[in-house]
Amino acid sequence: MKILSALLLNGTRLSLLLLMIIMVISVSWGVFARYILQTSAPWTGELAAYTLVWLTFLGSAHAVFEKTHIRFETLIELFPRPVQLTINACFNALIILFFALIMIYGIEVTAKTMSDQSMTLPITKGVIYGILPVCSILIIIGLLTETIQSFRGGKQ
Amino acid sequence: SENRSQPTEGASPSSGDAVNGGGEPELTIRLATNGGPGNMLHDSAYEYAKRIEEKSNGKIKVNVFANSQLGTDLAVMDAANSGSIEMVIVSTALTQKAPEFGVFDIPFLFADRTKVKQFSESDVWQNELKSLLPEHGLVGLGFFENGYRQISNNVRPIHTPEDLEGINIRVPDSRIRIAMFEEFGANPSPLDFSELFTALQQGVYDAQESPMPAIVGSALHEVQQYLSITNHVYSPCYLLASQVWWDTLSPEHQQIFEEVAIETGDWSRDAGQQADDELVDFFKENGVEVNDADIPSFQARIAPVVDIMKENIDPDFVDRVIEAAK
Amino acid sequence: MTAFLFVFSLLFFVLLGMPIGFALAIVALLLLFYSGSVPLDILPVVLLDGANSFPLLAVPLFMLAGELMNATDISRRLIAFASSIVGFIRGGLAHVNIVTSMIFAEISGSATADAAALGKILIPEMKRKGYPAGFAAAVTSCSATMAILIPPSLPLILYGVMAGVSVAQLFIAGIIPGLLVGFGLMIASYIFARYKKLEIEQRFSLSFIYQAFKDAFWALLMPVIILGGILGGIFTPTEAAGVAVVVAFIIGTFIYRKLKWRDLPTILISAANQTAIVMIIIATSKLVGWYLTSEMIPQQLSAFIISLTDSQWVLLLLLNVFILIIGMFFHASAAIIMLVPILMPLINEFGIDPIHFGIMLAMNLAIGQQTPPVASVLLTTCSVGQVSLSQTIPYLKYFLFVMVVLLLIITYIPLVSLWLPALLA
Ligand code: NA
Ligand code: NA
Repeated sequence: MKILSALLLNGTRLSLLLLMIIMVISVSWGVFARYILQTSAPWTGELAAYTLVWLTFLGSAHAVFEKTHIRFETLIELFPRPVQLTINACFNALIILFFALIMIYGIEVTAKTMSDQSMTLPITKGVIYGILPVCSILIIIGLLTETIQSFRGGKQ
Repeated sequence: SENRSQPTEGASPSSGDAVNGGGEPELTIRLATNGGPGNMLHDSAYEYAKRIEEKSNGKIKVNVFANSQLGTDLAVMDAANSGSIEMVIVSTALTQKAPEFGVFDIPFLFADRTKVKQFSESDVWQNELKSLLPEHGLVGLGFFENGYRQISNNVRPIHTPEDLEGINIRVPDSRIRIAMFEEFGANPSPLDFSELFTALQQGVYDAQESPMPAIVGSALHEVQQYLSITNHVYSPCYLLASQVWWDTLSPEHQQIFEEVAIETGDWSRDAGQQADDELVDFFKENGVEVNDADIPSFQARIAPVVDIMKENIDPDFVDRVIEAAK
Repeated sequence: MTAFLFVFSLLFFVLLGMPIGFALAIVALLLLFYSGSVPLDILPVVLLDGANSFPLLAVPLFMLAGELMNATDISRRLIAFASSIVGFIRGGLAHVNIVTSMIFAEISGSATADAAALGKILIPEMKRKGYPAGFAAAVTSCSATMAILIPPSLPLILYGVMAGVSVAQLFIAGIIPGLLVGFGLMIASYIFARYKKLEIEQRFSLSFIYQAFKDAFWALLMPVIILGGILGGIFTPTEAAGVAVVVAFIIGTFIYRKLKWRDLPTILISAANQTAIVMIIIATSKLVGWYLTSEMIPQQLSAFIISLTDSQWVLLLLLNVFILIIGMFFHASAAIIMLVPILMPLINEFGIDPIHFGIMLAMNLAIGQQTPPVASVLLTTCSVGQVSLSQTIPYLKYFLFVMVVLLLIITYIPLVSLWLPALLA
C-alpha cells in the first residue's frame, strides 16, 4: 500500500507540474501569436481552460494525499481523540461513496462523449471527462490510506 | 438610463402562473440555454415556454434556465443525454456533438429568411441532420434563429474586405470562422466570451462579429464605434429534447412539443427580422455608425472557405445543404 | 424544507471538520437523494462544468507568478519600495496592501484573481514583519473586493447585461463606493495598528525612497508591463496573469539570477496545489447551486421576502439580508444570473434606480465572497497565504463590519453611487 501510494503521489506530482507548464505556455502563446506574430493560435484558450479542469481534479487528489484541503479545525479539535478519529472515518466513508459515484457515472459519461470533438484541439470531450474516474480512484485510495493510518497512529 | 428593448418582460420566470389558472401542471420541465436577455436564444426559450403553457392549457409548465444557469452548452447537452435536463436550446456548440452542424458556417448560405424557413422544412434538416442526434441522446425539435451575423469594430466602417486589413477581430472557437476572416483579410483569433467586453473596451481586440440582438444583449454597442451590415453568416439555434425523457412522453404531449417548436421557429425568424429592422436605429441613437457593406465583394472570397469545410464534412452533404438553402 | 436540510447539513459537516469542498459535494448528494427527481448521472457533468471557467485561469497563473516573485526577490524589492513611501504610517504594510489592491482593481475585473496575485506576495512579507497571519489574510481578502467595484468589473458587466442597464454608467457608479471600501479598510487597519502598537516601518525620507527605487528598478518593470499591457490593449486581464509568470521567470532567472532550475518543480506543484483546493470548492459548490437553481429555491425564498413589506426602506433592508445569504452560498456571477431576473421587476416597481441597485448588489456579493462556506476570495487568500480559516476569522469580522456599514451607506444614500454618473452625464 505504501509503495503504491508513493508511486501514485509521484505520478500525480509529475502530471501537475506538466499541467502548470502547459497552462502558462498556452496562455502566453495566445498573446504572443496575436500581438507579435499577428496570427491566431485558436487552440490556446480551450487548451488552457481544460488544463485548469484537469489541474482542479488531479490537484484535489494530490491535496488528499498531502492533507491540505481547506477545513475548519477549531471545533473538531475540542473533542477527545477517539471521537475525532470516528467522525473523520465516517466522513471519509461518505466522501469515498461520493467519489465512487463520480467514478461510476464518470466512466459512463466519458464513454458517451468519446466521439464529441473539441472545437480546436485534436481530442474528444471524453478525454476531458476521463480525469474524473482517474482522480476518483486516487482520492479513494488516498482516503483509505489516511483512515487506516489514523487508526494505527491512534492506537500507539 | 436608456430605452433598450426588453422583449422578455412579458415572459419573466414567474409569469407562467397566470396562464396556469391556479391548477397544478401535470408536467414540469426544464429548458436550459446560454442566452441572456435580448439574445434570440433567450427570447425564443421564453416564447416557447409561453406557447407550450397556452397550448396545453397550463398542463405543461416549462421553466426556462437562461444565461447558462444550469451549465455551459456542452454540459447541458450531456445532462440532457442522461435525462437530467429535459430540453436545451444551443447554437454552434452542437457541432462538437455532430460536426455536420458546422455547415451553417458556410458564408452567405441563406439569402433571406424565407430560404431559412424553406430549409427548416427540407429533407436535409428533417431527415439528415435530425437523424444525427439520437446517437447523442438528443431529439431535434426546432430550427430557431440566432441571427444574421454582422461585424462591429472601432477602426473604420467596413465596406469591402480591404477595410478589414490589419483588424484584430474576435471570433468564436471555430476553425471555419477563423478561415473565413483570414480570407476576408482580417486578423481573427478566438477569445472567451466572458472577456470580450473589456477586450473591446481596452483595445485588445478591435472588432467582433455576432447577430445584432446578441451585440445589444451583451452591451457591446457601448464599446464599439462602427457596425457594418455584412450578413456573412446566418446562425441558427436548435431546440433539442432529451431522448430518454422524450420516450416517456405520451403521443399527445409529443405532438404539442413538436407543433409549438415549429410555431416558435416561425416566431423566432419574424422576431429576428423585426430586431434587425429596429436595432439599426437603436445603434444609431447610441452613437454607433451603421453602414451596409458591399456584400458581393465578400462573397467573391468564400470559395476557399467552402473547400476547407469539405475537407472535414462529407462534400456531397455540403452540396446538398447548399442546394437546400437556395 | 429543502433550504433547511441544505443549511443544516452543510453546517454540520463543515463545522465538524470535513474539507469544505467535499462537504458541499456530500450535501449536493443528500439533496439529490432527498428529492429523487434528478438522476445521479448529472454529478460528473456538473462537477466538471463547475471547474471549466476561462476567467478563473487568472487564479493559478497569478499564484504561480507570486511564487516566482517571492522566490526571486522581486516581491521583497517591490515591497521595500512601497514601504519607503507609506512606511511612516502605523500599520504601513496593511496600507501598502490596500493601496496596491486599489491599483490592481483598476486593471482586473475579478476579486479572486486579485486575491491570488496580491496574497501570494504581501502575506508572507506581512507575516515576516510581525503582523498576525490572520490579520494579513483578512486585509488582503477584503481589499481584493475592490476589484469588482472599481472598473472594470466582471460582475457589473454581467449585471448591466442582465438588467438592461448601461455598463459604462455602472462602471462610473462603482468608483466612489470602491474607493470608500479602500479608505474604510485603511481606517480599520490604522486603528488596529494603534491598538496593537505595531511598529512604524521607517521614517519618511527621500533618500530612502531613492535607494529603494534603485533596488527595485527591474522589479518595478513587472507591474509596469502588466498594467501597461492591459491598459495599452495588448492583453486581457486573464492573459496578463500568464504574461506575469513569464516576466517574473525572466527577471528572476536572468537579471536577479536567484531562481534555480531545481527549485522550479516545488514552485509549480505548490501553485497547483493551492489552485486545486480553491477550485474544488468552486466545482462542488456548482453541484449544490445546480440543484438549488433547478428546483427554483431562490425564487421561492425571494417571493417570501418580497411578500413581507411594501415600504422601499424595509425592502432594501430585506433585499440586503436576502442577497447576503445567497452570496454566502453562490459565487458572484451565479448569484447575479439567478437574482436579477427575479428582482428587477420589483426594483422597477419600487422606483429604485437600477444603477444604484447594481452597486448595492455588487457590494453585497463582495461581502459574500468573504463569508464561508462558499467564499472564493477568502479561501483563495488563505490558500495562497498559507493561513488557516480559524486564524483569519477573528480579524476578518472587524473588516466585514466595516464593509457592512459601507453597504448600508451605499444602500440608503443613493448619491454615493449616482452622484458621479450624474456629474459626468
Ligand atoms: Na476592477
Ligand atoms: Na460566500
